[in-house]
Amino acid sequence: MSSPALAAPWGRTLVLPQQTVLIPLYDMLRWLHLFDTRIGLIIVHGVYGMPSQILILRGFMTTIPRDIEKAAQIEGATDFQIFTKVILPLSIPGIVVGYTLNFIAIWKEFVFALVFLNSESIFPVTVGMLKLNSDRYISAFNLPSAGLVISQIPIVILFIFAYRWISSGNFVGSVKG
Amino acid sequence: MHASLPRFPTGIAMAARMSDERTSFVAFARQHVFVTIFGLALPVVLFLCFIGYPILYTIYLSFFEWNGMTPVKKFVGFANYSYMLGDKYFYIALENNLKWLAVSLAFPVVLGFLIAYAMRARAVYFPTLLRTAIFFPVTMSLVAVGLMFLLILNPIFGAFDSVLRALGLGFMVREWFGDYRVAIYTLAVVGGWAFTGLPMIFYFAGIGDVPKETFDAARIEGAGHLRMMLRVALPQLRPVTAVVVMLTLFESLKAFDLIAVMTKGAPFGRTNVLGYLVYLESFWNSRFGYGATVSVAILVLSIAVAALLLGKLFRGAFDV
Repeated sequence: MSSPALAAPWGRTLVLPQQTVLIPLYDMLRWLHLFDTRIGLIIVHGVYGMPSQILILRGFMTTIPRDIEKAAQIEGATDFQIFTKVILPLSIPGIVVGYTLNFIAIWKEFVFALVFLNSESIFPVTVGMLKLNSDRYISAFNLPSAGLVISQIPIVILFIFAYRWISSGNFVGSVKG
Repeated sequence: MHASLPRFPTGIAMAARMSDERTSFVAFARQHVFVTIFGLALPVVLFLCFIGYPILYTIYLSFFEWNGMTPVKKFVGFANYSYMLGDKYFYIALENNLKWLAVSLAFPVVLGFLIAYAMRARAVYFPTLLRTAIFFPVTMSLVAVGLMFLLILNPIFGAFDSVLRALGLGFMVREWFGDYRVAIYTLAVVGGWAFTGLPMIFYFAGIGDVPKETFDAARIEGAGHLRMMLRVALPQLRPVTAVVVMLTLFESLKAFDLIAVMTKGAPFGRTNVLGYLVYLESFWNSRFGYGATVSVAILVLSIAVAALLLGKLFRGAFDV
């Protein structure tokens, strides 16, 4: 491992099973009065999306030549300007890939949504689909099937747009290091 | 990429600049407030609050008896651990996790590699279409996959059984979810179906990175496809294999969605996995302390296997 200790926790978290933090997060969200709210789930998803995003974006940002950044610095750009005017535009492909992967990951996520939400009105699509199957329509497969197809539409649309970046395996390099 | 650069997790290569400017951390932080706050402090604080703290809290909670509601937590020492080591369902769940891992390593990983190789060797028609088709299940929610396979494997009107009967393989028809001997394998294979695309993409990219000359040289020397795969491709794909094995490993430790959708641990807890046991014990049986203990078991298991893999098998292959 060539990078110092800071890199290690991110790498670990990427592969941390969600169940190991389920109970404390449940307790924490109740303590913060965020249990059974959209915001609570959004925060949790945001934080647990970070590790993979950091790895993906770092992979892209290390391919940006340092000289560009240095040139901007010599021209008198501040850090904020370097970030918004140089680094950000150059890492748009990385952001697209990261965004797509994270969207898919959160769209299909199930455990957190199942545990941290209680009211049917704010269920995400995965949990809602499960309710469709198990509650009232136990022997009717038409409703879950319809739900299944509808739930895939956003993914298909996103997939069509971002397919070229994802399937080329560009994001693989960032994990490979 | 840039081997000489120190690779740092923060978006902007902060450490590299620190060493460029030959300043201490404090001087650097004072000079680059924006980078320090948004590139380092914010993620680290979020990390400590929502990832670091919960892990420690899980370990803390595993020494207590708690029903999740009362403010009082009763300290019980190692009682949860000794209970876990004598719990039949824990061992069933552990065994199921290992079975799941074995199936995942045997079916999706190998299949993914073969498909990736076939596509790179131009041995299939419509490679782009095939790649899309095989990768698509990865993007599907496992709940959707579970519901779909509930329909396909339905014992009364399921398509799979009908196909088997039509092919004259009627003797193979089982109660795919009812028979306690096959239920976990059914689940693992369904999980594998939804996972195959990932190893495939990784190997596809990996084989693309292998210099073409090595394959050409092997072909001129008269190597067949099998030998090419085993002797040329695989040794050069060690880093990819390391990543794929790690992903498979943690995917099988995470297994939860399919069980929650398809069997809910039935029959008789025979399809429980550790992840589902945590959920079941804490949120259905209100034994949060014991649930935390099983969580610690998962944690220890994943760290141990990761350390083993990183340290021994794939030394240097998985530089995060």
